[in-house]
Amino acid sequence: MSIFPQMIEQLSTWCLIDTWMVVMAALVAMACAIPGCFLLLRRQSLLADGVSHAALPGIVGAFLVSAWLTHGSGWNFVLLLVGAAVTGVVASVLIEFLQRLRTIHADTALGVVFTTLFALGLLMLRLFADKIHLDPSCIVFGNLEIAVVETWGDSSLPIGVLAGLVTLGLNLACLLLFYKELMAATFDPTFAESQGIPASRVQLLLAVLASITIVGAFQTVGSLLVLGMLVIPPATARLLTNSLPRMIALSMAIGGLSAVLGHALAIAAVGPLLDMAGIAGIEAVSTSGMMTLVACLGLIVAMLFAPENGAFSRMIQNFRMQLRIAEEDLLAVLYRLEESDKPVRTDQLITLVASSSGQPHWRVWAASRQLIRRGQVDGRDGVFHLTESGRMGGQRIVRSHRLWETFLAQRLGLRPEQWHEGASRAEHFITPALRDELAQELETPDQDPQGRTIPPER
Amino acid sequence: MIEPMVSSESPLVIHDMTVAYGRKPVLWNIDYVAPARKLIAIVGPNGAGKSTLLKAALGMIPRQSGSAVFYGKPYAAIRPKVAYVPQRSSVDWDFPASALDVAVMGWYGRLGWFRPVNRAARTAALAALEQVGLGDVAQRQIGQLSGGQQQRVFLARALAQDADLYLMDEPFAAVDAATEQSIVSMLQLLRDRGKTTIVVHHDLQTVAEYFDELLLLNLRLVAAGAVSEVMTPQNLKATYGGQLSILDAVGQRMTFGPSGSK
Repeated sequence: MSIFPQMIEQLSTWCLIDTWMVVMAALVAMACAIPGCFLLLRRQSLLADGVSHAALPGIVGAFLVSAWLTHGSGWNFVLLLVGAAVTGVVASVLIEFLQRLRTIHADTALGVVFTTLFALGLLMLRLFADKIHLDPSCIVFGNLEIAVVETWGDSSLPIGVLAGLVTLGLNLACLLLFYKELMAATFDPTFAESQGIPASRVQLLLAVLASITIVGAFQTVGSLLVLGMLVIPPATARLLTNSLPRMIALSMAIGGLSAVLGHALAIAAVGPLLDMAGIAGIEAVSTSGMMTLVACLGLIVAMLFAPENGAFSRMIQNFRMQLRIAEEDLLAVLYRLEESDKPVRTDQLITLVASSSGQPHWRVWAASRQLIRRGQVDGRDGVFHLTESGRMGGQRIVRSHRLWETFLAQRLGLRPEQWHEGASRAEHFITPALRDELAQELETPDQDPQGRTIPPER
Repeated sequence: MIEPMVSSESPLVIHDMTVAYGRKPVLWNIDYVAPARKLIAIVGPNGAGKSTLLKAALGMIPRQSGSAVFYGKPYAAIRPKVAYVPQRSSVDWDFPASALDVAVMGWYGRLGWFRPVNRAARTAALAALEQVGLGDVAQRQIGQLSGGQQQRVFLARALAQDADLYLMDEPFAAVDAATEQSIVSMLQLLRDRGKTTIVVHHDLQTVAEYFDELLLLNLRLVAAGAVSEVMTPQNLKATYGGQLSILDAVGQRMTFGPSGSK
C-alpha cells in the first residue's frame, strides 16, 4: 500500500486538539526566535542552555509559592514567569560578578553558575515533592499532549497557548521598543555606551527575556528542546539574509513553520513510514522532538543551498572561478604559440594546458568549448585559432603575467626559478587598474626579466 | 604665542586621573588640558594605556580617582557633543548590518529611548557615508567591506553624530596607504570646521605631518603640547625608554602582592 493515502488518512483525523498543539508550539517557537537571534549574534547561544538550567529553581520556587497561596489547588502562571525572570536576573548578575572577580574564566563562570542553580532546583524538587505536583521529566522534555488539556479557567483556551501568547507579546514589545538599544548593545557595546545606551543593562534585559521565554515554553516543548528553538531557526535565518530585521522575521517564520510541519509529520508520517519499514503499531511520535528535527533539517538545507553562504553556491562559485582560470590559461597559451608561430593540434593543446597548469583534462576541454561558444577561439580544422577578441583576452593575461614576473624579480628580489609559478597564479587576479599601477610602479617596462616582450594594454 | 586657557572652553580637561584594572594601576595621575580646534595625537608604546585614557575619560572604564570634564561639563551632560570611534577590531564584522545601519547608530543618542530610526537619521548617515566616499556601498553588509572601508564606516558613524570633539582609537590600524590619506584629510577638514580631534596613534614618523598637538603617554603623561615642542629626544626616550620598568614593577606588586613577580 502506498504511503501517501495512509498519511492523508492520518491527517484527516486532525482535530481541535491538534490545532491547539500546533498553535501552542508555533507561538513558543516564534517567541524563542527573538532572544535567540540576539544571543546567536553575541555568540552566546549556550547562554540559553545555561538559562534553561538555571530557570529550574525559579520554576520550582514559583510552584511552591503558588501552592502555598492557593492551598495546593493549582498554580499561577504569572507567578511562574516572575520566578523565571528572577532566576534569570540572579543568574546573569552572578555570572557578571564572577567575571568581574577575574579569578575564573567567563565560560567557567557560566558552567559553574548554571549547573549549581540547576542542582539547587533539583534539590528543591525532591524536597518539596509532596507539596507540588511537578514532574521533573515534564520540565525537561515538555509534554504538549498534556499541556493542551489544561485550560484557562472555564474557557477552552489552553494555558500553554496563553503562555505562548504572553511570552511572544512580551518579546515583540521589547523588540519594537528597544530595537536600537538591542542592536547597539549586541553589535558594539562600547559605542552603545557612548550614545547613552547602558549596554550591560540591555544585555541583562536580553537574559531576562530569554529566561522568561524558556519558562513560558517549558511545559510545551520542555527546557531541553526549547534550546533548539532558540538556536536553530536564528542560525538558519542568518544564512539566508544579511539584515537583522529580516533575520528576526525569518527565524520567527522558520520556528512557526517547524511547529506546523513537525506536528503534521509526527502524527501522519512517522507511523506509515515505520509501517513500511516493517515496524508496526507506532502511530505518532513526540511533536516537540519532531519540531526540532524539522528545524534542523531546515538548517541543513540552508547550509547547503543558501544563496550566498551555502556550500552548494560556494561550490558553484569555485567551479566558475576554476573554469575561468582554465579559459584564461588556454587563451594565454594560444597567444604565446602565436608569438612563436607554432600551431598545435586541438587535442595536444588541451593536454599541454592541462599538464602545465595542473588542471584536470575535462575542465580544460570544457573551457575550450566555452571559448568557442563565446567566439574567442575558432576551432575548425582540428587546430585552435584565436579570434580578435580571444587575442585581446590572451594578450591581457600574458601582459599581467610578464608584468608580475618583472615585479617579482625587481621589487621582491626573487630568484628566476620562482618567477613563473607565482606569476601563473597571480595573472588571473590582476585587474586592468592593477596592471596600470604595476606598469607605472615598474616605469613601463617593455621586456620581462627573461627578455620577452610585454605586450601593450588593449 | 600664549593663549589664555578658559577651562569651560577646553574640549577636555583631565584632572589627576588614575585608572586601574583590578588593583593594577594602568594610568597614573594624568593631568591634561586639550586645546580646542586642534588635531591631537596620543602616542606611546604598546600597553602604555592610550586606549584606556580615552575610555576612562568617557567613563567606560571606572576611574580610581580624578575627573574628566568636557567643555566644562561632565560627560553625561554633553554626550551628543562627544563622538567616540572604537577600535575596528572591537566588533564582529559578520554582524547582519549594512554600512548604513552602522552609520545611523551615530544618531542613536540623539533619538533617545523608544524612538525608531527616522528619515532624518538615515539622511544624515547617508551624507556621512558619502563624505567618507562610501555612498555607493551604503547598503552592503559590513563584512563584505575591506578593512579600510570598515574603518571609514566607523568614521562616518562619528561624523553623522555631528559632535564637537572626536575621540578616535587607532583609526589608522591596518588600513592601506590610500585610506590613511583620506582619513587624514578628513580629520584636517574637521579641524578647519572648528572641531577638536584626539587620536590614538602608533606611528611616530607621521605625527609631525598629520597632527598639531602631541601627547606622549606611557602609564603616565610624559609630555603634551605642540608637536614641535614635545617631540624632543629626551621626551621620546622618557616615553619609550626603559626607566618606566620601575613603575610597571610596582604595579605588578600591587596586583599580586609583595611576593609577586620580581
